[in-house]
Amino acid sequence: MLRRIVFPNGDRRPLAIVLFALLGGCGAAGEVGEVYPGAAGEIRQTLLRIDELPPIFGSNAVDTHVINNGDGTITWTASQRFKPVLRFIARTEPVDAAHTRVTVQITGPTSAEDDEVARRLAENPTVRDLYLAAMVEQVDATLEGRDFDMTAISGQLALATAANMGETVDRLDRAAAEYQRRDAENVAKAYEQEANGGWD
Amino acid sequence: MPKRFLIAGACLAAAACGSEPGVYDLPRQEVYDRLASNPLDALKFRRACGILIHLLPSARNGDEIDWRVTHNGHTKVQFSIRLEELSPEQTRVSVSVDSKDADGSEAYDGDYFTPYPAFQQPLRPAIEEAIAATLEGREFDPSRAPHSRDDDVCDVQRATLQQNGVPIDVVMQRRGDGSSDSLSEDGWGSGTTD
Repeated sequence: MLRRIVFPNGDRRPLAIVLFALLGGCGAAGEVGEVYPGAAGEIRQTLLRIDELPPIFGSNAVDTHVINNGDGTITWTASQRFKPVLRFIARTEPVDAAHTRVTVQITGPTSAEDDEVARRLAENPTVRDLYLAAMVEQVDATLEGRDFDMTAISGQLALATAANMGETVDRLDRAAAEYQRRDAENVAKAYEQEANGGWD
Repeated sequence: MPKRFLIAGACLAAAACGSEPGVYDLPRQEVYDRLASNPLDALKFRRACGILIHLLPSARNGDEIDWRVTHNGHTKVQFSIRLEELSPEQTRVSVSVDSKDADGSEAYDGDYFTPYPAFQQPLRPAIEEAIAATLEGREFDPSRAPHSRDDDVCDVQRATLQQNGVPIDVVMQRRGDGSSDSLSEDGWGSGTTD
């Protein structure tokens, strides 16, 4: 189920939009490993089918690009307005012929040491841990053939929300005002387009 | 106690109690003049569901005004108001949603289902707030007319228009999932209302 924030005007936005903003889009980090049945190649093929980030990000807020790097790793790059803002990297390591360990890492959009997002991830560990836990759950759900389980990240979600509440509220206010302005502009444009002959 | 304090207290007490809902301290003719040709844009821009709608007012008898809400020329819903002169300086405005559901209940009453809704539900409080805002000379206040949080179809349609500037029926037409005409027949009915 998609978690959304309901603004005063009734509109709903994914919670992650706001937390994303806290990162400015946030240092690299965190790794969690899990062993799954299946050869490494099969596991990678399954992981390549993940073409959306976990539902906390919201499909409208973030575009996702997935690539097989050919070195046993798969990278998902999240972009906002065509600008890469975050990467998740899954490393697959054969445990034996029929089992593979999958380790997920979160990092900034570049590998540069001074990557701004990586720095902010390091400064906002609760948000970083939430995103990582969400992606780990996304991978786990995919490899186990089940739906994403929001309860699997409820702890990280609560911690991230509590730790960033003050700034989140300020940003919510600003985001709400900006969304309302943009929404009204888009609606007005649509009526103008209709008056000028509509759409082809 | 100084007389001016008594007057101020009386005014505050009156404000605290509030006047009867739908009753305005305006002459009937003034209410009529403000609403008779008013397209109630607040409803269109604050409560529509992502399809482009037009509110067409038509006055009759000097004490009744109808609004026909259309989309692509098809009537989606109709509502009206009736004015009652309570005194030379006070008028009651009664709102009626004239379109009905198959079971006779009021359209957009909160439980109304239509595949491509025009308005967030319930509609009647929003109409009343749009009229109140017009007659009181203020902005439409969404908090005075809360809408359902479970109106998912409307929310999706609304988000599509707000985020892309393209109405849902046009988006569906582009995707090949339907056309405006077919949606009109299937979703909005061939009669005068949905």
